[in-house]
Order: sequence, then C-alpha cells, then structure tokens
Amino acid sequence: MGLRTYIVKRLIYSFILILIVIVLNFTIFFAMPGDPYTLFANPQRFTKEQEEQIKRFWGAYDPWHVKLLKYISNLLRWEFGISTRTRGSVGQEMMSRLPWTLYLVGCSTVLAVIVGVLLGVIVAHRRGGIFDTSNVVFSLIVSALPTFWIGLMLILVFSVNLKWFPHALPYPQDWGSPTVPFPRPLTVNSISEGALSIVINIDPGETLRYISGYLAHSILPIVTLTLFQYGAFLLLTRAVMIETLTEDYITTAKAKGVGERTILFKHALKNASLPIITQAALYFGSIIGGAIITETVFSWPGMGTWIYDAIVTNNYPVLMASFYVLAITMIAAILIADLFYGIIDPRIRYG
Amino acid sequence: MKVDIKFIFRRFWNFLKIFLRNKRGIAGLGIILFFVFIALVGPFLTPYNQLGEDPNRPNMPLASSEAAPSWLRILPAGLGGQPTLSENVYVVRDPTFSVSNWRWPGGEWNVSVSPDVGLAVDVRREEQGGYPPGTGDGCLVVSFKRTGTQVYGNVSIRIYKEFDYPYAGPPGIGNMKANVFVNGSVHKAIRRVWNVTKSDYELREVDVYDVDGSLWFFAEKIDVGGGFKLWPTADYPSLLLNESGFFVVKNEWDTASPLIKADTIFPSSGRYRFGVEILLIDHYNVTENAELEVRLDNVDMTLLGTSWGLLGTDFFGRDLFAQLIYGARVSLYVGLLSAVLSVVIGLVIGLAAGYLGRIADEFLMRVSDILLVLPGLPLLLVLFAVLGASIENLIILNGFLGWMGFAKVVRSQVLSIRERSFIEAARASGAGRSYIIFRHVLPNVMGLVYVSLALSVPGAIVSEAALSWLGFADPRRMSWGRMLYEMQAHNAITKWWWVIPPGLCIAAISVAFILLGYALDDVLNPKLRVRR
Repeated sequence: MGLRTYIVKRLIYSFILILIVIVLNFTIFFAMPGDPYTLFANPQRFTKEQEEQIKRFWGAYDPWHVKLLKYISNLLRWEFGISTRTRGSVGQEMMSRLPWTLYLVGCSTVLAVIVGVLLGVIVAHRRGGIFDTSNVVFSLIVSALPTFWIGLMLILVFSVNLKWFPHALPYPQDWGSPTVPFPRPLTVNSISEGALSIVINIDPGETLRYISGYLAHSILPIVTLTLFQYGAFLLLTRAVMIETLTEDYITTAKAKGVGERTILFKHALKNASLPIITQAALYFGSIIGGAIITETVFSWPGMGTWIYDAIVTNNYPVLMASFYVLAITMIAAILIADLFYGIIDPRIRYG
Repeated sequence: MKVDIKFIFRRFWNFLKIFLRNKRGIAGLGIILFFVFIALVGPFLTPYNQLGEDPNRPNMPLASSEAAPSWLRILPAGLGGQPTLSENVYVVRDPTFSVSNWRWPGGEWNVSVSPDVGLAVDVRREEQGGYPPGTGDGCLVVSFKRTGTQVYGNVSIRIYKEFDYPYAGPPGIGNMKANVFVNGSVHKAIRRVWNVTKSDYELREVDVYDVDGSLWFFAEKIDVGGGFKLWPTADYPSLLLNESGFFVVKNEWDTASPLIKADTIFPSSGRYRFGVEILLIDHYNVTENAELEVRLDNVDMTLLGTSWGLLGTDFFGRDLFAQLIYGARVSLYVGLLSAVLSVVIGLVIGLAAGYLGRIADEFLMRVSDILLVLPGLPLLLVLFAVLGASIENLIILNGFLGWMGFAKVVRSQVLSIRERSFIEAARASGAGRSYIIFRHVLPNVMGLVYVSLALSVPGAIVSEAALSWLGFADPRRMSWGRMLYEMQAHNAITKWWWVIPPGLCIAAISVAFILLGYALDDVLNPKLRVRR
C-alpha cells in the first residue's frame, strides 16, 4: 500500500466515522425523554393552532428518515440550530466558547508534554535510582487524583490562603466596567484613506496589563490540567526511552565517546518521539471533553461549562452540537496521529 | 472436566511467593485491604448513618452548621488551633420535670418573683397535666391568684437554672423550646381547657379574668446581668392573651442571627442563667378573685457547639467523619463492580473479535472505535441524568462505556495465541471452537484479565467522584465526591479539614489499585511488558 492510498483510506474512514457519529448523536437524543417543542415554546402561552403551526414549521411531523437527512445536512453545513435557553445561535455561542477551551487545553497539553518528556528522559537515564522511583510514584499519584480535587487544592493554597491568584473568571472581574476598560495592547490606525498604510501601535503598559491579567487568571486551571496529564507522558517517555537506550546503536554511540546529553536527546529521544507525539495528539483530542471538570472548578467560560449548563437545563441543541464537535476533534486527532505514524513509520501502512 | 485442586493450590502458592516479593504490590494490597476493612466495619466506627445523621433523629443537626473538628480546640494556636471553638452544651438535665426535687438547691431550677407578691404567686410541680396530655412525667404549674381587690401591676416570674458555660467562644446555634399551657384570660369565652382529674381536654366556660401576660426565654451572664430576652420566633406566640390549650414556644438563633448575635449572649466562659420569664399584667380590677394558671413542660435549651467530632460537620450539621467512612463503601462498590462489568464485556468482545476474526472482528473493532470517539465524560453525564441518578446505573454505564481499551488488548493477545502451535495441535486433534477458546485461549489471557481488573478500578472510582462532584449523585448515599460537592456548594473551601480528606481517600484508593495492577502485571505477564 502506497502512502497516497493509505492517506485516502484513512480520510474516507474518518468521514464514515463522522457520519456514524452524526447518526448516533441523532439516535441518542431522538430517544431522550422530553419534547423539544415544549422546551422551546411554553405550552401555556400558545393556542393549539399556534402550537401546531410551530410544530409544522420545525418539522415535527416529518418521518424519521427525513429528520435524519435534514439533521445530517445541517451538521455538515455547520448549522446547529437555536439554544433552548438563550435563544441564540448555537454555532455562534460555540464559537465564543471554543477559543477559551482551546487556549486552556492547548497550553496545558504543551506544558504537560514538555515537563513529562523532559522528566521522562531524565528518569529513564537514571532508572532504578531514587529520583526515578519518586518521580514515577509521584506521577502515578497525581494522575490518580481527581482533577477537580487538584483544582480545589490549588485554589485553597494559592487563591484562598496565599492570595496569589484569583480563581473566578479568565480575566479580572472589573474589566469591562466603566472605570476599567478591557486593555487594548494593539491599536490599528490607518493613516490615509488607502488601506495600505496601516500603523500598528503597541502600548507597552496596556500589553503588560493584558498579559498579566489573563495569565494570573489562567495559571491555576492550566496547572491543574498540566498536572493531570503530565504523568502519562512521563511514564510513556520513560518506557520508550528505556527500550531505546538498550539498543545497539546507543551502545555504539557511547563507545564512540558521544556526550551523554547528545545521546539522550539526539539519538534516543528522536527515535522514541513517535509514540509520544501520537499520544499527545490523542490526549489533546480526548481532554477537550474532559476539561468539563476543570472548567467547572474555575468557572471557565469554555466548552466544558457550556456542556454542563446544557445538561442541567436539558438544552439538547447545545448538547448535540458539542457532542458532534468533540467527536470531530477526537476523529481529527486520531486521523493526525495515524497519518503521522503512517508517514514516518512505513510498517504501519501494512498493519 | 477434572479439576486438580492440588495443582491449583500449588500454582496459587507460587504466585503468592512471587507477589509477596513485590513491595509496591504489597503496599497497594495493604491500602485496599485497609479501605475494605473500613467499609465493612463502618457501622462500628461511627454511630451515625451514611449521610452523617443520627439514625434516631434524622434531619436534626448534630452540631452547628459547618463545625470545625473538635481537636482543633485543643491544638495550640500556633499550629492552627482555634481555642475559641465551643462544643455542644445540653443545658437542661431534666426538661420534663420528672424528678420531684426540681427546686434548687438539690434540683436544678430556681424561681424568683418580683416584686414579691407573697402567696399570690405559687410555683409547684405536678405529676399530671404535662405535655403530651396523659403522660405522668410531671410539669411545672405557675398559678396566680388574687383575693380581694388589690391590683399587683406587673409581676415578673422567672424560672431559671444556673449553669457553667465552659467555652471561650460562643455556641454556633442555640435551640430553646417549651410547651406552655394557659388557663384563664381577660375575656370570657368558651375555651378548651385541661381537666386534670379526667386527664383530658374539655370545653368549659372560663370566667372573665383581669390578668394577662406574656412569656419569653432569657439568658444572661450572672456577673454581667441584664439578660437577653429571647422572644419566641414569629411563628410561635408569646402573648398568653391569645392562647389557650398547649402551645409550643420556640426560639432558635445562630452565629449569623441579625437580632441577637451568639457572641453577645455568650461572650465568654462563666456562669450563666437560662430560663423562662413570665410577665403577668394585672391592671384591671373588674372582678374579684382573679386567677391565672400557666403550665410549663419540656423546657429545654441546647447550645450546638462550633466544633464536633473528628472532622466536624457539614452545612446541615451532619457528621463528616461518618460520611468519610461510608464513602469507602460507595467507592469500592462502584469501582469493583464497574471494573468487573467492563472487563467481562471487554473480554468477551476481545475473544470474539480475536478468535472469530474477519467480519466479527471488523464489526466489533469499528464499534469500539466509535465509542472511543464519542466524548466520554459528557456522554456519561447525559446518560446518567436521563437514566436516573442511582449508583447501579452508574456502574452499568461505566461498564458499557469502558470496555474498549481492554477488548483491544485481549484481541491482539488472542491474535498472537491462535497462531501458536498448541492451538494448531488442538485443532488437528479435533477440538471444537468453544473448547479451544475456553480451554486454551482463555487461560492464556487470564493474566491480562486480573491486571486489567485492578487497573480499571481507579477510572471508575474517579468517574463516580467526578459525577458526584458535579452534582449528579445518588441522593441516598454520601460519597467522597458528593462531600466535596456539598463543600463547594456551601462555599466552604477554607475549611481544609473538609476539603482534604475525601480527595486523599480517592487518591489513596486509586493509587493502591494502580500499584496492585502493576505488581500483578509484573508477576503474571513477565514476558509481555506492555507497560512501563
């Protein structure tokens, strides 16, 4: 199987997976108790005819396959309908939520990979020692802790007792009030009528306020998610590195007198990085759904709290949309991991 | 099938010998056994039920809301101790007046009447006529009788007891209660009155009396004096005028009371008075020989302290230590059963996919792919919310949403086993498919099963904790996650004795299962080395 066939096959498989997810999503919420029309339109305020009209407008009397086809075509066009609670477009709401989650999950995954891989390499190098055992046990304990408890402890220590970091919003509470406006680190001015001459002014004071404001508010949730994830990377890196470090070419490099650091990071880690990278992709895909807890602890306005609110208020359109998007993220992560593997390691394509 | 018990025993003994050399495995097993022990002997460790309530008095607080652990009171202040904490004080020893020497000295109650009206006021104990009607455990009768035409004005009758309040800080909640019965009023009316001889209520016409009055609790520090009138709360009457028959007077205050704060009533340790004050108002001289009778029963005062037990109480005054103890049951129950369910499902599907091959394999693996792709925690939340918040539903959901990883491991193992020569030999000698699966393939994946059983417990425990912490909990049970939910819901994050123990328990039990799993992996699958 050539590389191109492999990629095409993976792409087609991913697309089929998306379709199946849509159908499943439809079935799950189709079977759920509760009538979306009564959720949407208060029955006490409408007459029977009006209710009929509304139902006919939303297609309540369509046969199920028509509903399903409509649903599939809507989702493929990124149409998610209207939130039953806020009456706003679900797609727009999601677009305001998603960046917050991506920021949180992205930062923490990158941090976790850096910390986990570095520690993993060191630990593998000094395997069997106290540093190794203590690190392995500590990472085991930390990854066994419930995320929300890590968050609570961080709040208790750093927010309540030491008062270093606030913990309520992703930015200072007074931002946006009349006296304290949102900081504007960049101002874009067009000097002349022609749009070509644009001057970008960077205000250092505002930039500092911007960065410090966001950083102080996001450091605890990011640390929480990092702690939650880094153990897996440490253990994986350690396992792969130990295997790699026993290979012949490492011994050869040692015999040639190559420096220890060069051996560790250039010879061994480079070859061991493949499973780590795929693991990172998969983790990123799955942790977006798992961030629901971290986000609730820190009342972070991302996808997680959105989903939580939707579950509490039976907001099915929001739930369907978020399930769909989370599944797509996961499928994309798997696809990326597969493609990466396939390109670098040709043996996979035949597996 | 012949079962060689000796062989099984020998094999187990060998396994044990290797396992006992594994330090981490022993540590894990020790922690697990510790929690199992706690879960089993829970009722002997604490007299309270799993919600932390006294089973004999459900919904009644054991101490004040969010009380601190009582050992914080003894701890020196430098170590975080809080010497101003108080404990429960049950002020009245005998609220029902069941003993005949009720009067001080000898008994607990004092009586003072001011101004001194001589024989016009009489306070005595009576065996019959208390509350509830018909019981003969005694009550107190305060009777006022005026002969002739003299008018006494305001007469205050105090029935009180003196007691030592030993704590430096105020109590958290004070509860006062009394049953009062009034015979007589200013208006002539048909009233239900208590007939002592018949031990029953009856309707009787009561003469017009000139006397009226009101009643309240009071508490004061003796060397300070003054006394705080603790008026019965709005739901309960204090004017004797409006009442007849038995009625309850109650007063409850707590540290946050807007009117009288606990620390103004109980500023420090010392000798205090608590009691009931009856103010009779005798202004009019319409009839001669006016009479009024007030009966008192069940006069009680309980001061709920700001410290309690080993771990304090939650918002509703429930014992946190009992909740922690019983939390082990929920976690073990959910963790173990979920693990068994998911491993069994994973085993069956992995065996089927690996051994049957082809279409079955393709189909089952695609199903597991789809389940892996769906967002796990949100799906669990939605289904749990729909199916109903019960712990059994959670176990079922955990089982059906958690088998995929293990199925893949079993499948790959089966794929390699089925190509081995002993399977070929079995097939050549005419063994059937099911015989080969159960006799040859299954024993070879059992090592994986034990390891996976141990390793999938923590996930289930943490998912239960997470769901409970989000508020999706079985209302009948208190789990560690729900303890933290209640903590968060009542903004008690500063109370570290409430925040830390449940999390530590979850962590300890999860780590224990992980250690056990890795140790089993080392012992049972020495060649595989899939992990670490």
